[in-house]
Amino acid sequence: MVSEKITVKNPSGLHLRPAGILSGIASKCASEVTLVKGDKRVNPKSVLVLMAAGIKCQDEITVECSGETEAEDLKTLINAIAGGLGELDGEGK
Amino acid sequence: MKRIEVKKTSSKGIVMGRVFLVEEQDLSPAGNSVQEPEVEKEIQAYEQAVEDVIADLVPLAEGSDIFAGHLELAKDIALKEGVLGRIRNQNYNAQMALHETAEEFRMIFEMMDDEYMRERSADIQDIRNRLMRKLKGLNEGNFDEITEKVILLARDLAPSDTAKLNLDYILGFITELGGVTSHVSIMARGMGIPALVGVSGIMDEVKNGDFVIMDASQGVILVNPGQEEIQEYTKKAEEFRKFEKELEESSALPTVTKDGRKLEVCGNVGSLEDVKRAVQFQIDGIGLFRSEFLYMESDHFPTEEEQFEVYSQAAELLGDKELTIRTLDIGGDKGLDYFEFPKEENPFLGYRAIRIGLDQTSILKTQLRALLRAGASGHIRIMFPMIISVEEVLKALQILEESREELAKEGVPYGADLEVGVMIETPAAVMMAEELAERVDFFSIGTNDLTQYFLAVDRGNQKIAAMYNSYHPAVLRAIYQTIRAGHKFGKKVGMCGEFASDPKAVKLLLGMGLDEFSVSPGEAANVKYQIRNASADEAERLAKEVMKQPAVEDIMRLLEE
Repeated sequence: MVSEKITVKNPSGLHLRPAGILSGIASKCASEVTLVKGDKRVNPKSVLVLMAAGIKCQDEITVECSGETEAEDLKTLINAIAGGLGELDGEGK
Repeated sequence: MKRIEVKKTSSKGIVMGRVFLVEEQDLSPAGNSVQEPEVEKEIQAYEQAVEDVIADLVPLAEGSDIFAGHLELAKDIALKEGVLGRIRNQNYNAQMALHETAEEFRMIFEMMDDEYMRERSADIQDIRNRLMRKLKGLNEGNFDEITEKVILLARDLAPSDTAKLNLDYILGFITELGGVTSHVSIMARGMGIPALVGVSGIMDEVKNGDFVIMDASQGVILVNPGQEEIQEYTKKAEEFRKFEKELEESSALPTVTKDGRKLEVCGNVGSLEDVKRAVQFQIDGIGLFRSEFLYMESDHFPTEEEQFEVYSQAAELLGDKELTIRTLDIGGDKGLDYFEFPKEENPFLGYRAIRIGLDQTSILKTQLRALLRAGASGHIRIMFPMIISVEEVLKALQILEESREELAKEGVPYGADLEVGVMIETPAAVMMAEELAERVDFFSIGTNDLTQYFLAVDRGNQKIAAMYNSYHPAVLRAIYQTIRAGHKFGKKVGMCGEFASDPKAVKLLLGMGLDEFSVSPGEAANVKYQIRNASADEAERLAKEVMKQPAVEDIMRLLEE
């Protein structure tokens, strides 16, 4: 398993639109993906679950990937979150 | 023809047209369990429903973030897993499984502490309904059948329903459920579309295609009216439009009578939020800012700094227009969580308002210091409530003077020449009005308490509600006497009770010489309109005549002429 920490920069946190984009990307990952915020562990492949986690701007989250493609999946996800999930103009990449 | 009276009107106007009945759909789950061989069939049915909903949403999602979000929800794997799990493991049919799973998610979102997330529960409900329609073989409602201007009739309208409407085709809304603060009411007011909501039984009275006149100003619905009514209401609708237009035009003009007397129409407010809303209306200032809210919303006596912040912000919103702030008026029916009021036999005759301030002077002084400081840049007027004597005024003025001296010594900037006035709301204050006028800068007549104290009628007591009447000659004479006393010493007299916006009272008060009408901001345009269409001379003659009358009945006859 590989993991990496990242701070969410989206001004309204992971609300419907960015959560939708993230879950879309996560769904394409072959490895098992988990998002950790505090003591909550959620599957980001579901936009509902992702939103229900209530991740806000400036929250630090950990992305965990486990499976054959874990290294590239982790990189893809971290880049997407750092890139603002369609909301920020590539800021923080 | 049927005539239906409606109590609550939520968005005014008069329209007539054909009724378009929004078809009702039963979207509750058909709740039977399924046996083993049917499980696969239910799963297939659900998967087909998801596919169909996605196909519907894909074209909509291209132009809309809302529908793009809904598309994500429709595709969601947690939703799908929840539904399929319930079908497989609990032998639910697809409808029940969808209902329970969606409900579970909806509850999670509804309990979140973030308002945005709470509102998302409506999105989940929307997707649930889309899927349920597919499972039940229902269409998307009949909104797309609206091809001409109609009056929309529905049991209730959800945000997702109104989003589907082409509002150009909607003359008015009538709903059986809902209140004046419901979604459809707010939207209708915002769009200027007449609406009548909470009309119980309307669905049984009106059929699709009926011709209806709706008068949302008076709260009347006429079903299949005759030619005569149609003509009558066509005229009324025209007059209403004309009146609305004149109201709008006159609200931006100065508050001057036909014969050139200049007056002021101000707003009554109870919070900083209210001030923000009030300045959207054409008002000449704030005639009553109830400072109680600062104390009631806090869990401690608000500090000088906290109060200064609020008063300064309010004054800034008003620019050079006056901001009349009434010092703490607590007690009576208003309490504070952190301050114990003694239990009293007669709280309205008890320890309240200025009586507390003069007894516990530190509370009053904190407020006065904050007001003086905010007055360094803002046009603030200080007003003391519930005054009954000259001694009280002198004591309050002395505390004000002490506050000024303290601020000067501390080198803190403050307004040196703020106007100071008193509320006239007790019989004692009316009797002493001349002596009070000599010592303050302005009066504001509080008619709600004044009427209650003058007539010895408890305004909260339903049994004697009919006796509570500000047109009682004793109350009117008290008002007149107060205005004359103020003018004798060259002081401005205003009124901040509900009486000031009573359509029958405006001309009378104008005739008595009232200088300032302070009313709920939404009423300001109406009052201004009346003043601009009145002559002060004529109003004065009316007032003199009214003052001679011995009974309410005679007065009302004169005013209604």
